[in-house]
Amino acid sequence: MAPFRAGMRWKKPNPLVLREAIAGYFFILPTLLSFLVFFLIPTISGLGMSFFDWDFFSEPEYVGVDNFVELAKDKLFVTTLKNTALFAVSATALNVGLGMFIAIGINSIQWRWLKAFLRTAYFIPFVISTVVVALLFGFLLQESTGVVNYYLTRLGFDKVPWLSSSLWAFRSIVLIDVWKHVGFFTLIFLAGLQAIPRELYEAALVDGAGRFLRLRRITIPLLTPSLFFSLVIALIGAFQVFESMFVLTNGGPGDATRTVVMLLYREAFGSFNMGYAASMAVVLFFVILALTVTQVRLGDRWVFYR
Amino acid sequence: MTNATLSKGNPVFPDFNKTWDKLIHNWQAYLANVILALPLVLGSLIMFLPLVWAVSFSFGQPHEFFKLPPPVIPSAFRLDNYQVVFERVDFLRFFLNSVVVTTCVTIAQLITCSMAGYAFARLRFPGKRIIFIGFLASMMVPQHVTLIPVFIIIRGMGLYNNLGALIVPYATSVFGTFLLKQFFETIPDELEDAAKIDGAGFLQIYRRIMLPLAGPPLATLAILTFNSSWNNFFWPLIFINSSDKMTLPLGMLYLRGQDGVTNSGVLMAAIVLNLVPVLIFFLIFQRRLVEGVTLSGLKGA
Repeated sequence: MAPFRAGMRWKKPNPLVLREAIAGYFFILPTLLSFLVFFLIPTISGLGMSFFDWDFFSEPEYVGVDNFVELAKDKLFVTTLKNTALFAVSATALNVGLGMFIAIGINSIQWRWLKAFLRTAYFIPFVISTVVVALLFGFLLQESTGVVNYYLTRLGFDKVPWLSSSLWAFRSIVLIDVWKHVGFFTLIFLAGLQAIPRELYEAALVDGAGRFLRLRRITIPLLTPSLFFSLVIALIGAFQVFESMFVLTNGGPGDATRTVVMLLYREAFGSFNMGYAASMAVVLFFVILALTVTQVRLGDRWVFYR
Repeated sequence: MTNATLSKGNPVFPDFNKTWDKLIHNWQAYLANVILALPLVLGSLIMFLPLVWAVSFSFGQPHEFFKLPPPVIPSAFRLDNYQVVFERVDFLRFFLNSVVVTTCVTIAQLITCSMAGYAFARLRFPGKRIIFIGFLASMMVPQHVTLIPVFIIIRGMGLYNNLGALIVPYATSVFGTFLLKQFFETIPDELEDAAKIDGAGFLQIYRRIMLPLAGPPLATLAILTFNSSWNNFFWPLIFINSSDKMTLPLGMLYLRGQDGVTNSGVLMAAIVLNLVPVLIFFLIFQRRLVEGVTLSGLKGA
């Protein structure tokens, strides 16, 4: 394979092959350069940086695994990790679960115009920036003067402290995330549903299978690849959550909605603890990696591939 | 011919029982549709209502937000709030910055991704496989791992507090390269061979054969890139610190920090100003956008 294998003489390359290789490198050059400068070098130095104590201005000092030991003892970091995990699990479950049921619902409606309308309606929030979404909900969910609470009291409910109690602030953030992203997952499931061959349903009808049985025995098993994909990307995305909390609650009340990335941002660009922030990123990376690998492993057991 | 007409049934004396069955069946299907659609339509109201409220509050007086019940249709179309937005911040500047950054990023990605996609799909060169695997692996690493080193690199390039900081790191994309590679692999060899016999070089094959055929995937990539670049917030937050270089998402946060803007009709007016171009974009490119999301979904599934 390699031109320098032992016992082989260097063969002068065929000029055509050489030209093609040069062309290949030319075409990938911009992407390769960007990959090196903005990914490979930063990733390696990011990993390296987590073993240093560095305040950005003076010489970095090698401290071994101290940063990681400190992280394990850092109560705030453990809190943010818990918050992030809880957010990721609840947002993923709601986004993917609701997305799947909305998609199945839309798919079984027979009126085309209504299908198109619903698909559009659920997908619209996806194109709006998270900052705008957060600012909008911050306005609507105000405790005393907010529109949502106004209607709740009109319906006879108590005012909900949407953003001022720890528990509700967390729930609000999850709900806003679902509002923004559920349409994306609906689309993924709709695509999965369209890929199910009609003959399967026709055969089931001939066998006298009812609506529920068809759903349970055909639709859901054949949707498992979409479900698997959605779970994986939803969880990866949710673990990096930052914007909505940053805009809406700034981590509060207390630290109830502070996530790992928020703490990382504050440590790096607020306190200039670069090495410490880098070690957080490394932990986050390995948590995400471990979860993804676990999901892929478990996926083999329940995902139905045709 | 005769048989076919016969089997359709006599149009003058339709089979009464069959028609009756059909009617019953249609009626049941109709009912099932309504029952299914009702919760979905109610749910879609939840998607729309916040947007409707933003519009109606934006047309009120600056401090009308205490006034409840909120009118779903504003009583008067006052533009005071919009005026205040433009007085407080240079909103047009934010908008133009967003346009410049997004346009540059999108055009750059269309060029670099199609080039790299072509090379990975159609050319042979040593190290191709390992480079491609490296590219794919980079999609799995969260950007926060690279954040601090990239920050230092960008500063070193003199791009801190410069729109370039929002463009240069996004000028290429692994996802786009992957998308275009998949597409170029489906183009039949004969087209390329014919061009080669005519003496075309690789650059000519790329420009005259590959690019003209790649319209649909390029459009998909353009729209996905445009959308994510337009909404990018984290990067400007880190690299931009003067208000004349801000893009819309960061500018919105800056506006909120101004006196008397937090949670007011002024903020709603700014939100509506944000929504209008995004919704127009969405309505024009909806089909492609949906296709793009679906495509990236199916790739994984």
